[in-house]
Amino acid sequence: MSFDHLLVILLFPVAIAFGVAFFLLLRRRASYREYDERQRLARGKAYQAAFWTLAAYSLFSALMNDVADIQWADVTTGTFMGLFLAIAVFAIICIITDSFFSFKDRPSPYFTLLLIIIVANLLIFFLNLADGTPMVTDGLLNIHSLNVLAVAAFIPIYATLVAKHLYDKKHAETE
Amino acid sequence: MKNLRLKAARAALDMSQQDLAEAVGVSRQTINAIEKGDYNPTIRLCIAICRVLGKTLDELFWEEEA
Repeated sequence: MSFDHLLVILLFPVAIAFGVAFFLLLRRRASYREYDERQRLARGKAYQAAFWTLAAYSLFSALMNDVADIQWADVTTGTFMGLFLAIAVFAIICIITDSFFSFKDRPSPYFTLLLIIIVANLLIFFLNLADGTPMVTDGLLNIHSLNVLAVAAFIPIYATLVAKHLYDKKHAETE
Repeated sequence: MKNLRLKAARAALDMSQQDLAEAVGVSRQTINAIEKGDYNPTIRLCIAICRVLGKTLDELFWEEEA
């Protein structure tokens, strides 16, 4: 196992732990999160859609690999592609059905957090490009391409958030 | 089906959707969805709305005869 792989294996859980800790801190500061009945119903449907998206992707990926002998990514990267896709589906459906934020949430920290995630991953991507780090190995996307895949997943989420915010402002109830 | 009676009852008390939502403990979008007929609230939420607006279930949520 190369030093790079070892570094990824050791740093990845640390990065995840930091991300979770930051998210939990954000939630506590944003006061108790509560979804009303309509939002819970909508989020349930979003979870279903995300599950079936992941299942479909996994099935498609497995069939392409085993039957057609077509692969586009190594195992880790391919798995994350499915996860990113499912997360994007969940988030976009929740945003469209007004069930992404609880009615006690302030949306602005989440706009900032998403933007930070996108910019950070773009930065890492460009640093990798500058380093000459290959994102493709033997014709397959490797883990160094995860950053650009994350950006590809989070940009539609952010765009949907912004579009919904503008739409709601425009169609706000006139009193 | 739109719930115009709910909207009228809310307007009669000079309440915005946000005011009613806060009083009942739901999001403004949920109140909007109920008024537009896009969401059927549970009986618990119906009762909470009726209490805030001072109306009965029949007055706000019973289907009108065609």
